[in-house]
Amino acid sequence: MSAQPELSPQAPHDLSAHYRQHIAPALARMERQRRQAVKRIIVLGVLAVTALGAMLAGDLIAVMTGLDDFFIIAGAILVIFAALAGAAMIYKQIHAKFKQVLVGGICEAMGLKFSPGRFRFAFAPFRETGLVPGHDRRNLEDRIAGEHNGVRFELCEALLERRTERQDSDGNTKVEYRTVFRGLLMIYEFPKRFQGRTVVVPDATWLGNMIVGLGREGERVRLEDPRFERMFEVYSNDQVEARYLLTPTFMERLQRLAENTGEGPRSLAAAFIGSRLLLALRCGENRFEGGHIFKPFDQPERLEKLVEELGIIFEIIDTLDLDNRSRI
Amino acid sequence: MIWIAIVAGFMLVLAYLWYVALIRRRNRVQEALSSIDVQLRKRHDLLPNVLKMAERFMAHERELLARLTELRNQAQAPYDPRIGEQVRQHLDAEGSLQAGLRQLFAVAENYPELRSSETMSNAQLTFNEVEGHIAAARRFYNAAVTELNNAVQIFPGSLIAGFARVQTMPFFEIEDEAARQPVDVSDVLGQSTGVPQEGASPKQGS
Repeated sequence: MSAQPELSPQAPHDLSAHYRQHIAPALARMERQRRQAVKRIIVLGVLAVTALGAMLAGDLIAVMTGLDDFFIIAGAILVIFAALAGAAMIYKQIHAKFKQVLVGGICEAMGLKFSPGRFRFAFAPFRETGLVPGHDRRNLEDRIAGEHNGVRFELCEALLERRTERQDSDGNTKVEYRTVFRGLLMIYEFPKRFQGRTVVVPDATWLGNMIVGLGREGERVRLEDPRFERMFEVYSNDQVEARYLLTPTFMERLQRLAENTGEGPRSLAAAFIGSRLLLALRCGENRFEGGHIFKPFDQPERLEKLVEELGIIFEIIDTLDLDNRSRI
Repeated sequence: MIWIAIVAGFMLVLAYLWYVALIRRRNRVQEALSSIDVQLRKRHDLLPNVLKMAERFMAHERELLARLTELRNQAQAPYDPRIGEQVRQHLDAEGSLQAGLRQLFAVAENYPELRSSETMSNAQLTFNEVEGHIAAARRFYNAAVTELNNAVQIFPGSLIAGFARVQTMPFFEIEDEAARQPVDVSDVLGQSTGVPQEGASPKQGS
């Protein structure tokens, strides 16, 4: 077995002991299943390639001899599809098990609740406040909920896609889905009491802000910090409350967070609604997966990456100082 | 002749638009001022309870308590929100009241019984929250005043403002003398470590 991983100093709890006692043995037990699954996937891959070869060969023979190659082609296609579907199923099954053991185990050790699929998440406010763009299809996965320094939170990964139709040269309509948002949706308990609705969205230049602003609820709030104003646009139905929430200190924290996480300063949007802080953070990669199955499950890098990914949850609470009861 | 009429008409439209903008900005300042007053009322409402409680424990601070009552009366005096000078006096009185309240809470630290009183700590929490709201209302007001004053002072706004009797308004600035004083680090360290300071203020019952 591989050496025990060095945990990040930012890890909120000492996970080494938990990893050694519970997760590492479970991963070791799964290692045999992983090897078997990889073998099966390779066999199915070889089968698919062979079927593809057979199909091409059959087609060539048919061209040369003039024989009907329908059954060869149909059979080969069937085999290719069956092999690929089987491989995907095996991969998904073993990966889901592994993910539950590693990610679920680490979350449990941190006092967090992890649900990889089939969960309830308050998505509607993200759409209503315009934190995420309009879309036709969405996939939410990997919900993590818990508490850090007395601040309750809940988050999940989201992939949002918009449906587009286009016609090819033959006049056939083709439906395509284009990704419009990929990242984390987070809900944090906010230490201040408020009634209204304040939304902070990335600045979209003068013209963009004007167009986007037309469809937004509330009035534009102009704040004193020029750097913040260059990065964000703020809309609220209460000018005073917006300033109560976005104090100069909190504006600086939001800027720092936007600069240090996600995909650059324009990847963060926030909304204050119903005594909660909602954050939508664009990030390209799929998080909380633990990695693929073609390497040993107990590799230290997997745990290090996961701890780093989970660290963002706590980093946000710490950067925004959400546990600050002095309310500044 | 027709060109003169067109130019004059154009100037009139421009002047009207400027006038509209001025009135809008003045109304915005009035709105911001009234939102400040809403928040200030919370502070005024808090004061009698705090004073009542403080009187029981802070026998040595009668002068401060009397001054606070006086400041509250001054701050609650009626004023015309359209007249800059009256608004300035009103906001100055509020600034003094805020400084007085801060002083009261600071002095209360020297009275252990008062400090440990649950009502007092609740009052201080509420005070901090109210001050947060007042600070927010102040920022809204100052932003509105900046826009108004720019429109009034920049030509031809100054001309139109003169006709429309729109005047510049004062900023709501905090003149907190306590905040300007240098911080005595030894005091802070002494408090946090529980080390008694020499020449400490009177304790209850002394």
